[in-house]
Amino acid sequence: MKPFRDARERQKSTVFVALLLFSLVLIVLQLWLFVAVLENLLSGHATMAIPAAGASAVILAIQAWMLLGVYRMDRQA
Amino acid sequence: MNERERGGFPIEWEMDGYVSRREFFKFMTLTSGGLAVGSASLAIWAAVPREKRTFEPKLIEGGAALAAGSALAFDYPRPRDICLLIRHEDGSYAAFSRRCTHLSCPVLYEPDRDRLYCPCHNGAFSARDGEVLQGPPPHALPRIELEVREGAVWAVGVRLAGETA
Repeated sequence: MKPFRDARERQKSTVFVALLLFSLVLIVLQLWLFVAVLENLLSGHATMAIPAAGASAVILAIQAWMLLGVYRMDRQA
Repeated sequence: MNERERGGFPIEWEMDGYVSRREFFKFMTLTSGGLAVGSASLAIWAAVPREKRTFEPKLIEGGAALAAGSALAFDYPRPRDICLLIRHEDGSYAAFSRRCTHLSCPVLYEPDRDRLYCPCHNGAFSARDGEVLQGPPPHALPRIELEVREGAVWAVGVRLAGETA
C-alpha cells in the first residue's frame, strides 16, 4: 500500500505546483490590470475601470475556488 | 516519539514543504483579494460624478508682447505648476504644462520644428495641440486654456489629455 500512497502524494504534489503556477499567472494579470487602470485614470480615462474591476473579481473567485480545492484535497488525504 | 511529543510536531517531515506551499497559496489568495478590492475602489472612484474643477483666471505677464515663434514660461494654476505660452508664426497662442507626461522633465519649445521637446528621453509633443509626436510619453500634455482680454493673455483653465472643452 505504501508505494501506491507515495505515488498518490507525488501526483498531488504535481497538481499543487501546477495550481500554484496558475495562481501566480493570475496574480500577475490582476496586478497588470490594476496598474493599467491607475495609469488610465491618471491620464483622465475612466472607461477601463469597471470592466477591469469585474475581471479582477473573477480572478479572485478563481483563486478562492482553487484554495477551497486545496483544502478539500487535504481533507481527503 | 510518544503521543505527547507527537502533539508538538503535528506535521511529518516529508510533508513540511507541502504545508509551506499551502500557506503560500493562502497568501496568494489574500494578495488577489487585496488587488480585487483595490480595483473595485478605483472603479468606484471613477464612477462617482464630481464637479468640474474650476480655476481662477490669471494674467500672463508679457504674454501680449510675445514675438511670433517664441515662448514664455509662466506658472498656472499654482506657483509650482510650470507652463509654457507659445505664440505661433500665424499669431495664435497656445499654452501647455511644461512637465513631460513621461517623468515630469521640463519640455523645451522648438519653433523650427513646431514642437515641444523633452531632452530627458527624446519625447516630443505637438506645439499645436500637445499630442505626443515621439518617444515614451504615454499621453498628451495638459493644455492651458487661454483668453485674450483687451490685448492681454489670461490663463483661465487646465484641460487634461482626453478631456473635452
